[in-house]
Amino acid sequence: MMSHLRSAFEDPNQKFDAHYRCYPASMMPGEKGVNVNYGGKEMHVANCLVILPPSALEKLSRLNVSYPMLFEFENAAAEKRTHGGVLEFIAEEGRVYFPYWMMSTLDLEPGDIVHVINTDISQGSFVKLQPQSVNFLDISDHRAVLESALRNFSTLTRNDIFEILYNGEIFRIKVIDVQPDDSRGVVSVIETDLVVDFETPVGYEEHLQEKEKERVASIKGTMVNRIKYKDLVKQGQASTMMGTGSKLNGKQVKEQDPSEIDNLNNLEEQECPAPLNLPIGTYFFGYPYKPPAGSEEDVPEKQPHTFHGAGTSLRASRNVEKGRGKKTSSGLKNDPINVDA
Amino acid sequence: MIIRFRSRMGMSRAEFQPTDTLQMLKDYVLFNVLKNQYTPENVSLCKDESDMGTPCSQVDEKTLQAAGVTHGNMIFLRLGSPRELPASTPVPPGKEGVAEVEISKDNALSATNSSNVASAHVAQDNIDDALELQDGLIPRSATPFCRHGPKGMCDYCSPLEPYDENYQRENKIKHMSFHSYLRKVNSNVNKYASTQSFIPPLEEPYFKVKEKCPSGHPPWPLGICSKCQPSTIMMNLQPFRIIDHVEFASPSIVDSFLNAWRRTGFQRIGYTYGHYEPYTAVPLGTKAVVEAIYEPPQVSEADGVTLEEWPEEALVDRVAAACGLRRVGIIYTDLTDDGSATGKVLCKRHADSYFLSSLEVYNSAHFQSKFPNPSKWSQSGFFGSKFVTSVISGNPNGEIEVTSYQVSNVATSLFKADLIQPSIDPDRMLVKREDKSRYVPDVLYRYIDEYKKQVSKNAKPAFPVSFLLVTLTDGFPEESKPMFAKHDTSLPITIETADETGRLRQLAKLFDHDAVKNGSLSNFPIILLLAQLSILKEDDMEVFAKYAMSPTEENEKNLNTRESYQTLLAVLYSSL
Repeated sequence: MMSHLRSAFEDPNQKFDAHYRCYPASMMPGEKGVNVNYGGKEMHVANCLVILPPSALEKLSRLNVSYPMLFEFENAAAEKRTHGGVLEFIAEEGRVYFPYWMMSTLDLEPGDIVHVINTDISQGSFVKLQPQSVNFLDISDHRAVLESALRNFSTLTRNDIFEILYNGEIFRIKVIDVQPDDSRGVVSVIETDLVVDFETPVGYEEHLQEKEKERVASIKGTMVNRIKYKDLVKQGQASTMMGTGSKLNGKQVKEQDPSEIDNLNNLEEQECPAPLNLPIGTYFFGYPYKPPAGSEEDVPEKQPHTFHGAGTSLRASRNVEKGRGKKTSSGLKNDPINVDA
Repeated sequence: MIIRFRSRMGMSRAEFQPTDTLQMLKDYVLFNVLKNQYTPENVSLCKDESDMGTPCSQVDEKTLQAAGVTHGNMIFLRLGSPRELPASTPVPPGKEGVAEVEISKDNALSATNSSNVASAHVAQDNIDDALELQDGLIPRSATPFCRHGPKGMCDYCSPLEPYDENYQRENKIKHMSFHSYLRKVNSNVNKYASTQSFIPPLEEPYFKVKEKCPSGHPPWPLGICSKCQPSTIMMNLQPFRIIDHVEFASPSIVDSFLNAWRRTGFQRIGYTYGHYEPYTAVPLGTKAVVEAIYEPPQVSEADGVTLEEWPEEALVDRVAAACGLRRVGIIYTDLTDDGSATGKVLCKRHADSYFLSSLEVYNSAHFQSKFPNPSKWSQSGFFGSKFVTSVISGNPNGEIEVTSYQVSNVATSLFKADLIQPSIDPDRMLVKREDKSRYVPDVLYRYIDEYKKQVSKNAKPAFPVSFLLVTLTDGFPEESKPMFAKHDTSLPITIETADETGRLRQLAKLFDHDAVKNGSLSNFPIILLLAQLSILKEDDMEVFAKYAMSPTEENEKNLNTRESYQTLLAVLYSSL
């Protein structure tokens, strides 16, 4: 507020330089909040536009600033900065409203102080983007979506993760690289032709693996069902453990969980495995998988420590020397030689 | 002057004059050396071992001097038909089972098996005949214990018999080769240098109740006696293996076979076609060289594969025979991706689980009894089988690997007697229950129990599959010389998917002279497809296959004289 008052008397060639308390746009009084976050049609607002107080406009109008007005926002405490334009000058004095993603980029909590500086930013020619989730790949026409989404942006800053809303879904996209590259790593995207390149989305590898797993799972076990292998395993179990148990208190005995038959150890326990009567020339490989002994999954468990423990004495020892001597002798009570010594 | 004669019958020498004619020498050989046991056509006079010589029937009236025979010369006598090769050269592929070898008591052959006189006239595979002529002795170098000169020999350095136990232990040979085993058994049964009696040393196990029991009781199941009932079956590890090694002529044979799994994730099965050769890594060893894999009609699934009816079985075997190949075994994939997306596969088959599942052993026993190995040393005329089973699965490092097995003779006999049955546990085989159709003798197996004691256990109802397995080695040659230039296991996709006329056009393109030089025809599925057109005559198939595999001018000339080949060319070119 002090800075705001002082700025009224500054000369026109100086920069706009002010500190404000920041709040997310959703905390704005009125209905605009959502739109500032993700862009709304009727207002045509953009994603990296902030809402400044009217005094800022008053001050800016007295300075030599280039249009469109672009600002650098800095969180001095966290040494983080990003860039953006201004949407309206309707905020309460001393406050600035940010889209939520900008606040998280700057590592700001609502009510923190943010440093706002008016700045010039060169027109961008190239950006490289990395979607932060693989569901970005589900969009059929990336070009159209990005064109309409980036229309709402005025600047792109390297390493920012911005959000766009499409089809009711929020997509987070990171800016990997910008050209031309000034030291700040920021370009203006207003009225420019932009070449856009994409990095593989975060989690793409895992996504592929999951797809592969799904594929493997989908082709798995056609024969296993056809020859009713699991039923045969159960049948073998039935023949080894015939009959049921009953309890004296009349409660039901727990039945064996049928899902347990999926391991080979169980098969080995069967005295007489069921025959697998298939015609000659039929090869079946769907037996339960048993990893080789050397692998990690099969590390033998440590032998439980039986009859291990430490002796303790109720009586506190008089001195350290004696106490130590006592402990040894009590620990090895069965060793007569030691006791004598 | 003295002239020496060397033959399978041994050495002899005779006095001749330089003015004597070759005719006189021939007569001497036939009547004095060979005791008139050979017709002149079957005896060739050769200057050295590699020389094919001239048959005695074609000897002219030259004098010995004119023929260049001087004092002390050695003349080799090649006996039998001149086409028969000496034991030291490998057998040409694909001729197995053609020549009927008759060995009678009189012309007992080389020194080691002079007493081995087979009673039956069995057409053995050529490889077996060739290996029988080798002595198979394992040479040893001089030891510190030797107290003789460099040309001397003593107990410490004399060559070992091929079945020497110490040698096997030192070289970690788990199963000795079949021919080593045969020598061992034969030396126990038949005495050296006695040509009077011959007992076939080998016997295939027979587990059925003997029919026509001489003791006069009603036939089984009404009556049984100790003479006709099969004795207790004791399962041991088979000490020998008929085939020692499986060699894939080129890695791309297996690679191309794997493509089906790589594309779909479904398992695949195929028959391996190849030939047999001596395997020098073990004494008297035999290896099966796989030249092609043929994929018969089948239903592939992710966890299994089923062979379907194969109407073209006879045709494929015939075409393979024309290429000089025969069915040597079966190969299938058991591959499951481990899900790490690094191309690794699960290691399903290892010492703790199983190597061949009971079902696979059962199938292999079927195939091995379908393709028996003719042997004149066996009472039945057959002994074991040369059919091998190769599995492509993951090794403990997750890599794709081929391992080959045979099942033991006991396994095939159990299968033939219908005594075993695969179980749902891959590691255990069931012994069937006795009923009216089969008599089940006691089946025992020995193992070392938890107290490190050897115990025998009744194999009923189930016993470990490993008792029926014989492990083979396998690999690729250091210098691959595959018969076929191309190793596709299925037809190229352009031909496979084309319609009838398109297919003819595609085939015609392959007959372009330059393309043939590049081996466009040297591909088993292509040769097979051409055979399926049934334009080429059966007799011409062999000439054609020869040309396809080695397109030399001589082979081409041979082929061009064949009428059916010209018809084939005319049909193909008309489609262009």
